[in-house]
Amino acid sequence: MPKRKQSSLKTLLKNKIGMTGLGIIIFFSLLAIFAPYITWNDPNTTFVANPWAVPEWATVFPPYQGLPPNLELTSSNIATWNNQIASHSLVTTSIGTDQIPNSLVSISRYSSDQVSDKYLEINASLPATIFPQSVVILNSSTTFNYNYKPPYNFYFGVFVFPVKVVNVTDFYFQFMLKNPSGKVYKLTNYLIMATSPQETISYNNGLSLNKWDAVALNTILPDVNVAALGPSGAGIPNTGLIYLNETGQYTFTLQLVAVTSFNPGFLSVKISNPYFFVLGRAYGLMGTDFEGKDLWSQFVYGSRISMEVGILAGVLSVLLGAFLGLFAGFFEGILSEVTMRITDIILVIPFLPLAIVFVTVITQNGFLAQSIYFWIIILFAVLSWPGVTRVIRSQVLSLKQRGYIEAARVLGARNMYILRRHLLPNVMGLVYANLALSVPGFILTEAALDFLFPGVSETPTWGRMLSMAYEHAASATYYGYGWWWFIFPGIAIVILSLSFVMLGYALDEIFNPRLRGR
Amino acid sequence: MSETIVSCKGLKKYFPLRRGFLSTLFSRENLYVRAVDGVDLEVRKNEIMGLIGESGCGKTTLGKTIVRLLDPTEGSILFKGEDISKLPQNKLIKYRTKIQFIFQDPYESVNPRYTIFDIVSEGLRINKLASKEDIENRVYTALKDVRLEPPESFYDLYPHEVSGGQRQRVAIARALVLNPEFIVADEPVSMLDVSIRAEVLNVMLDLKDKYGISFLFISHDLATAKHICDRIAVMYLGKIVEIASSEELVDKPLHPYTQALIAAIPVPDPRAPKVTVKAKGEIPSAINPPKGCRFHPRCPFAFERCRIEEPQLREIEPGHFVACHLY
Amino acid sequence: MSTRILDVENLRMYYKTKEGYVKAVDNVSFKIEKGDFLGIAGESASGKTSLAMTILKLLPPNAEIKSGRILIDGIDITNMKESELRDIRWTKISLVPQGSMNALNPVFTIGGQIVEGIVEHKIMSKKDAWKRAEELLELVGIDKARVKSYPHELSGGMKQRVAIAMALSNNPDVVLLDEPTTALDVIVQANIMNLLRDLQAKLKMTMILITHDLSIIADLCNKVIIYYAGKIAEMGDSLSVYTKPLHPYTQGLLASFPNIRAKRQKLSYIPGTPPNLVNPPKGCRFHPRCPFAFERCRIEEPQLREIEPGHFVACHLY
Repeated sequence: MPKRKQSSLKTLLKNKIGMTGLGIIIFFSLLAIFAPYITWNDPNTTFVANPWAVPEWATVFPPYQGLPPNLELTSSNIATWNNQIASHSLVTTSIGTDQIPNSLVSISRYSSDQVSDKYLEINASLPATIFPQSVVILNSSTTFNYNYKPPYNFYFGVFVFPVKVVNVTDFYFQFMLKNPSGKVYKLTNYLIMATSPQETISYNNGLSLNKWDAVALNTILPDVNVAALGPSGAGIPNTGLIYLNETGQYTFTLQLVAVTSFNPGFLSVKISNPYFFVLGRAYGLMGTDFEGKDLWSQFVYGSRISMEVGILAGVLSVLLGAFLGLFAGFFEGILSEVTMRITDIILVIPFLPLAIVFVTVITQNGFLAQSIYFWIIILFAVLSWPGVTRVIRSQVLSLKQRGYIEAARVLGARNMYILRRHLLPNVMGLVYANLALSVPGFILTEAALDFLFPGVSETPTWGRMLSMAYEHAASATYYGYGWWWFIFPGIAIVILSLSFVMLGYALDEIFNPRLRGR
Repeated sequence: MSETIVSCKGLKKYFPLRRGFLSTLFSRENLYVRAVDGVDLEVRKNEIMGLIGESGCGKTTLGKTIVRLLDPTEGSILFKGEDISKLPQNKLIKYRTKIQFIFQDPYESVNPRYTIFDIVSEGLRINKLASKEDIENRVYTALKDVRLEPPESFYDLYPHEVSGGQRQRVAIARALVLNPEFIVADEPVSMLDVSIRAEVLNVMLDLKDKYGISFLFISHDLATAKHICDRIAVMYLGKIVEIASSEELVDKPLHPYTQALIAAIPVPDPRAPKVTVKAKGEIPSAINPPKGCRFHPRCPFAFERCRIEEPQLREIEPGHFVACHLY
Repeated sequence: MSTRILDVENLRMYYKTKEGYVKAVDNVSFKIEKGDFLGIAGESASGKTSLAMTILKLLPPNAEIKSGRILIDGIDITNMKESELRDIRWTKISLVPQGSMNALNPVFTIGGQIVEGIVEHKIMSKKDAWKRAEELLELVGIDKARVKSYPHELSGGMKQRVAIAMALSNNPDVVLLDEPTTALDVIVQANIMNLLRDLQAKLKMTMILITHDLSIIADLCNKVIIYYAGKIAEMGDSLSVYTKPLHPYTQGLLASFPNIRAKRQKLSYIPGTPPNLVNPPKGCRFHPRCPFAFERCRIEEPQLREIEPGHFVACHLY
């Protein structure tokens, strides 16, 4: 007895190339579907780490060894700090708990597990002086070890809740850092701390009574322009490189300074755990871009657009093409003739130039530009169905000559029955194969359009990643050419396209008897 | 004389010649392939009528036109006295089950994706002729009638799992399940090996005897037709040139073309006389058939009249019709 | 006096496929003499074309000659190199392949195609080759003026004549014709048959005709081989094989052949189907279809034996 015909699915499961392709497609589909669960940052959040941070795993390679990841350096509670109280004033301290608003926490990059509800309350009676005098009320310090190469940037600060301020001219905070060699830096020097809004944040200048607020400072913000000039910026020494250029034990000190007035004053302030946060030069699975955006997140969310545009445009164009091809092949007549002439016209339209013009026009219109990918899908479908129509039509024309179609007619079958029961099952394989083979084209074209028009939407795509990497190639030269920025989306585009091609050929082989191995 | 089940009168089927776009534009003349060019034919109840001719003579076109797989250009087709030649397809449905067609190629005429049960029951399902159990009974009977036994062992097989002869019998069962009264069989055994042809042909004879089904047996093989058919019509270039009972046609052929055909058929016996060629050249194109008698350019007996006047099919002896000026 | 022209001894040729070896030619031995007209009859897929191709060693890459010898005019070609074979194939033995009439190149004249074949073998100059082409066309009954015709200007029968002319271009000793009349109408077939008969008589050539049609062999050939499932079932003079068929297969085949001169009768057939050549039945390959099969047929493979002078059969009945 001859062997029983295997079902198409079983044949596919045995086809190694097809299964490899399918596996890759499923992998990227999972990435796209579970994007929010497998990324830790919004793809558009800047400074999740230092700009141009290398992938964390790259630190095993010599050029990147010892690069700091994101570091919280002061992790203990304020209550455990070495809190020295000014001797010449009447100061008392006590510990309480309170909830620091989340909005503050997120502004300050103070990671949530570090939020301590414990605070230190300071009550100080200040002497009356003829001229205002600065009095250090609290000198609070902690130590940490730093064992990496110097970072470029860091953040630090403290949360403050003024409870009672009576006859106090002003109060403010000062931060100091002592390096392992014993050198003490005052961290409020505006020459270095150029981008902080002012030298210090004082009560008169930003804080308000009975409200938690942040005294948040950071080093030169590594903005685009500075980053473009390389690690040392425009002649301004990079703060991190100066302050944290040694390994060993550092002492971080916070001082609360009050300014006396003509009358005896009283000051009551709650302060939270101060923080000191180093922006990593090594971050995540795929590092960061020139603005410190998480590239892994961009990559994962980018797969959504690639899959979405590729598959939807493919499905749309193949459905339309197959439908028209089926009818144009089956009913030969004036409508079929018109359909075929339309395919001729569309087939001679140069695809990419038209797409470029189309996207240019769309981007001029703010409203349309919001749904740019919808329009791209529509455009792809409208321009691509004729190819499918021609293939399906010629297949139908040849199937129509088969004896069993005529035989069904003799049995009394009507057109719709023959279409549904005899023709459709026979062209479905071709439809699947065409679908799989058309998707990579759309993925690549979409990437190309994104490459050419990167600013169209905020949605991250692989094409846009490549485009941005290309745009910042000049500054990338300082950072090992920023290879982590373009290699992953580049490879992903190739692999995903290839996987669809592999699946397509496998399907073609299964459904096309001419290619079926004997 | 038994009653007629199917007859056609003056039946014509022309195919417009497909030409390039430019030549259609610049030439007003429409060219046609005159595949069937005025055929009168009659098939009686409970008879196997042979339709014999060389390739390109239009015999398959005639068969397909009679079952209305092709729309006739001119002429009438009477099925039990009713003209079905001009019925639109939707009104034709009720005749579909009565008139069936068996195709030449058993490899092509069944859908390779269907099981034999699905193939045989398709006509019943399309026409919603039977309930579920009834379908199974009728499929069972039909497979039994075409000697595919035991029938249920064939239900779940696919066409490629059975031999060519069995496949052709599946195709016959597919027609038979609808209880047809008339079947056109287009070269049903020409694709099969000689040693198994008779198995299929005997099924046809059985069906004729058991159900009184009439057949139009289209073939190029006069030797087979002689043994299978009750009467034989010989077709040449779109026209019937001779009709007679099968024995009389072979033993006493009147038309020079029939004579040439018979003389050219080899016999599986080394002692028999060798083949002889009694006609010149080969069958001409059906686009511009010769004037007068279409056979005259090849005919050894052709005379002046043959070149001018087209001979009509006339009854020369009882039941023996011939279209030739010699008689 | 006759001389031996072709001698095939214990030839085995298998095709290697995924399912296993297809035993298309399995232990075949036969001899033919100069001037014989041998017919090889077999059903489709019996391996008869493979036998022809093996004799000419025109085999696809998956074919393997497992054993045996092929002697053409005393020359053993079994292990010959391709370059040597090319000469043998034209001067000693030539082939009219199946469907060769449709294999003519539509963009060259028929004369050009004949000349090309001759010139390629460096037998004569181009000018002489054209002359030879005209001679050949006349030989096969085509007006020599048609030497400049293109294939589409010729009818099917004429194209088949051209194909035969090409095979004759170098006066080979043996011409192998594979289904030369299939797809031709009977009158044209009779024409070609008469041509072959005339050519054989005129050129004293040895011809081997491969066909499924026993009646053509009866009409033309003086010797016949009945080929079944990769083996010779019966072999002998046409007259004795046709009048006294010994093998049940030959008997069944002859009985199922419609004879136009016979009385009208119900045709008979051989039940079952030809076997699959990957897994042929054990014992006699015909036994599952044979009405006379007995125990021994299922176990032991019958050898081809001479039952009467010149009449060989492979059957346990004798």
